[in-house]
Amino acid sequence: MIAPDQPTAQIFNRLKSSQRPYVITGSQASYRYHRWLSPAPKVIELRIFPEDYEWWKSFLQNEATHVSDTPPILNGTKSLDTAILLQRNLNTRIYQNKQAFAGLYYESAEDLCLELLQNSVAEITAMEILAIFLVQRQAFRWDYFYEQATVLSMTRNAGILLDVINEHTQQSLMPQIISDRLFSKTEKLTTTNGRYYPESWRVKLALRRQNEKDLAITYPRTSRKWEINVVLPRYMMEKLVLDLDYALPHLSSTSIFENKLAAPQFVA
Amino acid sequence: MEESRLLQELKAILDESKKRGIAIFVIGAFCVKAYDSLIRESHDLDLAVAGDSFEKLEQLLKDLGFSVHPKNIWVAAQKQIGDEQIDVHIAVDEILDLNSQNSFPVRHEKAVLLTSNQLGFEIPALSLHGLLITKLISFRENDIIDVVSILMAKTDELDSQELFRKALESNNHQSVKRRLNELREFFESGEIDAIWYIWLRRMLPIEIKATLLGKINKLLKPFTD
Repeated sequence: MIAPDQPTAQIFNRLKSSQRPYVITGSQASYRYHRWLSPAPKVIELRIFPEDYEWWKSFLQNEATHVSDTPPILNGTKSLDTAILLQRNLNTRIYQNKQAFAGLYYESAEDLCLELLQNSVAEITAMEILAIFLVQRQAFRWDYFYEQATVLSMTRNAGILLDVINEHTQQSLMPQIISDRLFSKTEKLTTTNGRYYPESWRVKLALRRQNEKDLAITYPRTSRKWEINVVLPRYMMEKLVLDLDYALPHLSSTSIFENKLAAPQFVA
Repeated sequence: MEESRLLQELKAILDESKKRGIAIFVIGAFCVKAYDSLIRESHDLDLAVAGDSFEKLEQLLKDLGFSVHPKNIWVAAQKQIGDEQIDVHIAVDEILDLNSQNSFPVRHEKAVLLTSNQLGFEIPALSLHGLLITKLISFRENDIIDVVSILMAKTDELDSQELFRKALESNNHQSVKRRLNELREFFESGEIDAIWYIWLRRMLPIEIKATLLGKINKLLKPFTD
């Protein structure tokens, strides 16, 4: 576990004394759940109720901290200012689902994964979701995730990631019943031509350059099921598996791949 | 694992390797850090060693309490401290990229001893141009962030002819040329902003982007002449 740097620790202390609702989101929250990819340095992202924006700005603002709903501009590599990014999109559902750790409130793993699914197509974002799925699979509320993925029309991307883990590891680490339920709620595509997951910068570049190699399907079974060309690089998944296998043994008494019987819990 | 604890372990490994006369390189994020250029966070300790020195390094790590296991393309050394674990990745003979299968042989390098502000003690690092090549041939998103931050921090020290010479010597000139072209495209298309934001939650100023694009074009010149 990485201890927060001093300015971040000071902001965490300030948050503990706040009187208004918030949840920590973004890379700090992701790290809390997967303990894999280090969070963005000296940045804390908070979801707040829209009407509380000015209150939060005044509560957190000081000379050394950038507090805004827009990201700070990098002024060089020598030192980074501490920044708090306020997202005015907290709602009652997300707030009620919050998780408390060490006196701080974090967006739930399920809501965070849904947000990551919605807001980004970067390969690393997909890998962060996969890392959370793997590390949190026992505690993850799969039924809630399924319901919300359906409401938010994220069933295809959510299902693809569940199936990618099972296809890559050749084990049923992710609940097949959830994937199948997500599939049943997913509309059929009229054409699979030119549809890729994830639509990352690598895919865009390959499409521009007509580079077939970078557009090659990496997970054929998952691609066939979801009618989309899944091009998530296998080497990234391999790296994740290796990292989680030996870097996070404290999360389980045995490694995730030795612990084959540790099936995720869900309501059938 | 706190960074100070990792640095303590790294320093112990380096001190002991110096005593035993084992030539090792610090590579990856901590090498970028040795050049005072690391912007993102990383807690990966990556080392490289020539094949004929590996046995000595393996013994050294065991003497320091690590268990050593061969993994896919590297050797992993692990040490448990309380309920936390320190992981060190070791590239033997060459720094191999799993995706492209490109590699940078360490025999082409002579360790550069750096005392960085970001680290606080002397590090046997790859040369600046060698480091840039390893980052360009890997070219994952984190490598792109590192390449851009090296270009920002070391603009004046990067020499296009030296980069070309080292790329040619290590048989990486085609992949380095391709990656520099792709990097140029990211700057021209604005895709660099998305990658930068996802990793750092910060924006690159327009003027810095223009300077970096100019530098990328200069670095590319010997590859296209």
